[in-house]
Amino acid sequence: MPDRRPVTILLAEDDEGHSRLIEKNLRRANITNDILKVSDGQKAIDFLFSQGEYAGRKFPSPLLILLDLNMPVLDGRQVLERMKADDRTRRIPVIILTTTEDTREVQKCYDLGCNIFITKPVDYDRFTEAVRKIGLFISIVQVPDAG
Amino acid sequence: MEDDSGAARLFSKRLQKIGYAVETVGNGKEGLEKFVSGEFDIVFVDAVMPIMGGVEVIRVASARGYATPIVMLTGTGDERTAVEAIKLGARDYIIKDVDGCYLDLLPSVIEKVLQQHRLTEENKRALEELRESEERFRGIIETTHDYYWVLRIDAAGDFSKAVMLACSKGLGVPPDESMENLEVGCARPYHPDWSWKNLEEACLKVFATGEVISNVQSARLDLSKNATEYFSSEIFPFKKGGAIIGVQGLSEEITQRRKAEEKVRLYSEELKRSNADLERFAFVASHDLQEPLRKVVAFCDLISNEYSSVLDETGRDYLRRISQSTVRMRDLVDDLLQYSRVGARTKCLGQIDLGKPIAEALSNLEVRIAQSGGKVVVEKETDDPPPTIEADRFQMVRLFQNLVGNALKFHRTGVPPVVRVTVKKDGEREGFVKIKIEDNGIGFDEKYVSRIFAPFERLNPKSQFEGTGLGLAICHKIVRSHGGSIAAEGRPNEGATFTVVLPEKQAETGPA
Repeated sequence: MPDRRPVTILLAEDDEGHSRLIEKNLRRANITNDILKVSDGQKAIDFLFSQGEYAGRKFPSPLLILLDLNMPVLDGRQVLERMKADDRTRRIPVIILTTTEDTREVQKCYDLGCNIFITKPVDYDRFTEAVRKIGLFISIVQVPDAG
Repeated sequence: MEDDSGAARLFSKRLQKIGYAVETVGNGKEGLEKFVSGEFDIVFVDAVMPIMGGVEVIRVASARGYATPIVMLTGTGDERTAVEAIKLGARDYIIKDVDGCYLDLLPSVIEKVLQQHRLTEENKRALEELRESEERFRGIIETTHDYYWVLRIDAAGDFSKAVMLACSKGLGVPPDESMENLEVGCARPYHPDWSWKNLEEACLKVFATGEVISNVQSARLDLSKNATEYFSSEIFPFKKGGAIIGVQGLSEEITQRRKAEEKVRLYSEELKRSNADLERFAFVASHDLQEPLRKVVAFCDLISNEYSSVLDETGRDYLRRISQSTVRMRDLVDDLLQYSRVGARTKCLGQIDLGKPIAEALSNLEVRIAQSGGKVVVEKETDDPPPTIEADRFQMVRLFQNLVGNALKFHRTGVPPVVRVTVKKDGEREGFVKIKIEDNGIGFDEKYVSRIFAPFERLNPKSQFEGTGLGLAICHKIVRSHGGSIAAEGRPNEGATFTVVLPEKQAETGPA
């Protein structure tokens, strides 16, 4: 088995409460990977393209992104579009988190190249379960290196 | 189980002679029935028997999970059967030779098998306990819940009008109602059991400022269980369209943790108190003992000075013994007083050059050094002046005097003691000084290292080395009360090394 570096998780979520909840439940699911948190879509883009406040810093690789759809400045869909249009970030796996049940929205995200789409259930216990499952999934998934 | 009755009789006779109770049966089937009772410590089975052979007996017994150890008896040249028996779960086998020599082996085989059996049973029990504790542990993990809740607060910040928008199961809000869509809200009045001041204040602060507050402690009465539950919560603003319309929280139930912490706190308080009581007692007792003791010493002296001529040789011998015991008792009382006086509260701190207390200790020991015919060398690593530390000067003198005194005392017969004292800065820890006292004496066995600093522990007979058994205990206490550590290394007849590590500065509030 090739020597694999641990995957870093980028969590783009504007709601601090949700962000903490997701982090806590990932930890509960035994995910020990580094989790970096950003609070809007623009910051996620800055991080990925080493610009703005992340200028000159190359993002850690391999990377996996948990992306909230509803975010201020740039929303999740815009972030996804930008990522998939650039060779540097095209291959990074993306898990979309959203409260929407709108099937067209779901379809649109898959068309754009999102890998997994997870509906945030409104009820906390089901949400916990969903995050735990993401955790389980992250622990077995193989993430490509950048470049 | 043996079908040859002659062999069976020989066998039982031999074992009965050395004190075992023996019962014999003629075939395997009968034997298995006996097995069920579980009243046997060890079972011997013959390999070849009518109705049911030995191998079959072992197979059935281990399939039924009988724990009693079984030993196989086989004829000469039948090792294959023996191997099979062992594979099936027999503990051992004995080959029956024609001249009956195997009977001599029986006692040792029985002992070995029973010993083995005991070990296996112990292991089994230990495994069982381990599994149980694991299950308990898992139980704790699984019952620790995080609760999530969202509260809408009206613009005026009136907490009594706050509305629970959503909350996880188990927090007292009926689950079907708490599962309402976040966007719509269930317009449920704020739960009355939750009016805990801490949480309320924290929620309002988060609502007003938008900052996150962690580790908010709160309690509530669970009416269904009539028990108080404790929580630690993290509170976040709850926003909609950029505006804060309420708060959301992640609450962890910490009732068990709090209970455990409370217990530990009570125990340690009690311990502190009883330690203080004990110290006080030791002080008072030894202090009050000094007075009558002084009288005994004085009158012993008077008798020996003024009435020596009246006493015969036996009388003088008795008096000498009384005197000797009294001196020993005085030493004990002195040491006990010293021991109970050493403590953080009684320390008189000052900046001291470590070379000074060492020199003072050596000068106090001058006579003993001369008597022993040995020498004490104080070595310095560099030409720098000896390190200065903050400490109680008298306690430092006592510390070095006891350590060097010990090194002189425990010398090997015929080998004059050589004691090396080295002082230097601790290479491993910044701000600490390391002092080593090495000797070439009788040393000690490493297995006693944990007992060496305990009061009244003596590794060597009193008749050989005088002393109260408190010397090292006092050293230990002095070092501990200065926030340092002391360790001992040694080997029988190769000498001992005591290493003292002391901080250069004393903490503001030293350990009690």
